[in-house]
Amino acid sequence: MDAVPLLSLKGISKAFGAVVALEGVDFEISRPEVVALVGDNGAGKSTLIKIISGVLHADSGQIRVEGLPVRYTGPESPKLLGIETVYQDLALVNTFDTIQNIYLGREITGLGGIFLDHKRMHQEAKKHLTTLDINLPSIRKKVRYLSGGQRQAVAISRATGWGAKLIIMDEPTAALGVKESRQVLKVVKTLRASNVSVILVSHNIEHVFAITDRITVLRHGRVVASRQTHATSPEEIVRLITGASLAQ
Amino acid sequence: MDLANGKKREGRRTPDLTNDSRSSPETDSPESRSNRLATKGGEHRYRETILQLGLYGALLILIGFFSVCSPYFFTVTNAENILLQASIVGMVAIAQTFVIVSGGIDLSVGSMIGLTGVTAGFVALRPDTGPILPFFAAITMGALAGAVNGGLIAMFRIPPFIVTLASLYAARGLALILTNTQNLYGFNPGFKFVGAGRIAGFPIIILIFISLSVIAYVLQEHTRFARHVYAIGGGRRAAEFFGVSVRRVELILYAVSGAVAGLAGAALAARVASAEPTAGIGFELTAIAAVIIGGTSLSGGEGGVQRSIVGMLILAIISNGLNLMAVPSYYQQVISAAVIVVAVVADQWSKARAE
Repeated sequence: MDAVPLLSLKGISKAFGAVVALEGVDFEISRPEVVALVGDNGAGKSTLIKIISGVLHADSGQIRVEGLPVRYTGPESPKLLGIETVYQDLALVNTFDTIQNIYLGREITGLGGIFLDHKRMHQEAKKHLTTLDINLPSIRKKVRYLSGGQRQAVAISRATGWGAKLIIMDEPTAALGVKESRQVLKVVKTLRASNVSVILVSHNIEHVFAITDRITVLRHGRVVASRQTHATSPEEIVRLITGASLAQ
Repeated sequence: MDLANGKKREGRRTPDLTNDSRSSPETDSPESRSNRLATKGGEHRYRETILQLGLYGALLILIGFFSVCSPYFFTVTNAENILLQASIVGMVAIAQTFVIVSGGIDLSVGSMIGLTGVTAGFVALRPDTGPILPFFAAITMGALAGAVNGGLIAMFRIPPFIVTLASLYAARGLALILTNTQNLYGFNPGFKFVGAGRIAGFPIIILIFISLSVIAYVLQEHTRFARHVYAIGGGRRAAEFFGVSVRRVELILYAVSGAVAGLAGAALAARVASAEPTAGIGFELTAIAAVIIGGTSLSGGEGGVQRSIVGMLILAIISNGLNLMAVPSYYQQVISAAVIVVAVVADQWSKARAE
């Protein structure tokens, strides 16, 4: 791992009116590292990833990418720094096939940027899917006809196709069956092996323990613990999430 | 019979099993699950293919039917008649296809044909303007009026149905005001030549229609712009999220629809050698019917100009064939309605279990 963290947040706070969503949150992720962000509903996970992906602005605190302080101007800023987000609702065009979705908004063109270079998009998408070890029945099939896991794979390959260093995944296995979840977890491992870091927001403790290096627990807008995955147990994490140990 | 039933039942069973496996994923072996999912998608594609073949099949069946019923149908002269009849509305149907693919609709094209027709007519009244200038004026007028549509839709988020319904009235009114409700005629010979002349034996109007069709198809398949039009219709939020400039695309789209209505308006005025402020009434509905018969979905994201052209030909052939068989035009309207219903039902069937 590099000495300088890929992404580091210091003292991030965010309030919506009188409701404090995040208070003095510190967070770090190295390269490559898979970090889970866990916590109960309303603990501040979504707010935190929205701040990292530039959708929301923190009221205070600092964001550093590879050691340099950054100021986001919108959701485009983190993308330029190699930070991509795969959202829960996927944001795919259902009537498009896999290639069309991967290249939506950044189509490869020839001849003055007007005409599409179908051949290159096809080749590069295929190469990319092979690198990620993603198997789709046909990359020419409209994604509306793909299964939940396959759609997730398309959304992930879209996010990773642009030299991303960090992928944020919001509940990637929430709506999936066992086999499909396994597929997605495999992709996360492949990403890590190819030097890409992943922040995984999940409620599924089993999945979290299967693939992460570290687990950060949020409760009531604060980071209550950050543990190396191999040095903790599901029981401890659940206790931290619910705050049971403090209450007793 | 048995086979057909078996297939039907299996088709129905698929979603149930998928639900089952969701509620109890442990009991589901991974292999059987993936097989089933593959079948689900596979069958849909198969249905879409049937639908596409069905469209071209319907065209061939109609040609066969009328060829048997009337000795005058399957002749070069009549083919030319059908194409001439289909050309003017066909032009606006092509532009309408892109608008509908984007999830919008343009109800104003019929009135635009009237407005741009008289625009071309005023220019063509002068003997020294030739054929190009009247067409240029009509297309410019159409593009400007279309840009007003697009601007209202893109900037103020007013539904396309409302905006273009308003301009349906506005454009017609303007055409009547400009001409003081009178028809214009006595155009320069160059302009009239476009309407009645031939190049290499083919009527110029038909050549314009065919050229527009080819250009539209190439743009549809090969440009970034067209890709974005499909993206907006198929997933507006995703398109916006991934940096497609939805407003810009919409503005251009409606301006182009207006410009093409201008081309059609000038072509119609040249063909009948008279610019009538009431020209093109109802053309927008015929164009939309052609698009729907072609199988382009009104919900957006799917379809294509090649299908609308076939849809247009089907409508033109039905009307022409029934005329030759001396069937009164009221019956033609009912039959056209039936064709639209069949097309929509077939489209629903092909997507029945898409959700």
